[in-house]
Amino acid sequence: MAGIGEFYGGILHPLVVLPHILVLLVFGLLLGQRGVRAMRFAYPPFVLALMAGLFIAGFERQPALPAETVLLLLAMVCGLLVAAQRPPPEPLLACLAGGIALLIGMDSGVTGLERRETFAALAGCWLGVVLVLLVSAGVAEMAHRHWQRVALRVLGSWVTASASLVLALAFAPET
Amino acid sequence: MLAREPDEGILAMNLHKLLLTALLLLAAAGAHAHQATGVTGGFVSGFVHPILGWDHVAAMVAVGLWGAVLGGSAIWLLPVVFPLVMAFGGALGVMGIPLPSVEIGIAVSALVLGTMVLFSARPPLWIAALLVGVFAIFHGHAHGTELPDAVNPLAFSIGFVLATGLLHLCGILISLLSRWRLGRALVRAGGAIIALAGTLFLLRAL
Repeated sequence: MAGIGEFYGGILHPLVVLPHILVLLVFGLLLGQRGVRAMRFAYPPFVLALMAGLFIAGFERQPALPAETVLLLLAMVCGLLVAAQRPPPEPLLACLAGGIALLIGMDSGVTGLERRETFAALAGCWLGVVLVLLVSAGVAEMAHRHWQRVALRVLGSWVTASASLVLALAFAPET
Repeated sequence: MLAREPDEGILAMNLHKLLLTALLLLAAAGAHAHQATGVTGGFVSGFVHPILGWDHVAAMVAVGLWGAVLGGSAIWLLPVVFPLVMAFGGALGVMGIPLPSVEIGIAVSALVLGTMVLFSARPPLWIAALLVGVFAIFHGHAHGTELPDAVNPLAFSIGFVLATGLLHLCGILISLLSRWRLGRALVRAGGAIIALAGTLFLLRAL
């Protein structure tokens, strides 16, 4: 991102890559629906897996899986769970957190930068991703009134709808 | 009666401010000095797609109105069910699977849903959800066929799902008028207008 430096560009990176922001927002809603205990449970694997993913991305290794498609699939599943207000058990949330973070990290690589700039960009990206999840989960956790819980479920259904349409396009036969 | 915890009050106030800010951001118009491209272009074209089609607008507002007329859990169940089933219809459109008489289905949705609001019909919730779900497939298919041509398909789909949801919200907010006697008449009149518009759409589609 021109003009703001590698570190700040890294912070903004999860906000400008739609599959990343979508899965982070909806996973945050899922965590928030489950409560503070789930956030404590899922955050450590998330933070560590993100670091591992970014470390791998730093060596310009591409993920073996189509990361954006898998992230959209995860966003669709998380959206369904939010819409149904059925957060999974905490160990499963922790696994999901690790998987999402690893994929986002591996999909956030930068090319053509010096080592110092690459480190700054990836460190910024780590901070940006962690903050987005924290804010999303925090807002969802604060929603205690009936209409606020309903709004979360509606948001979950919107994310599922958006993600599933793009997944259909990804798997549509070539014409 | 228990006194409210001060922390809870502050949290609720902050959340209200946050939601108000989000709504204002959504309502703000951008400065169109440049042509929207990429993600912005995809989002804008997706967002305006349901809004520029009067048949979609009529049916979406009717879903919100009917949900509120039904009351109870219907007020949130219908707006949750609709996008999920609409995505299924959209997927059919994206995959190129044809659906017969899409335009007729959309027109009938406005006619039927408007009539339900007009007569304040209160069938069992599962019947209402089924009816809305069937109509959602037609609306989704119409949007889905546009998706492969979108500048950014994900931004397009987020845009049109968001616009659809906001149209439902408009219907729900209008239905708040039904707290008053005159408001109830206005809501039913809204249903009549939507049903009439649906009849016109149907005649045009046939």
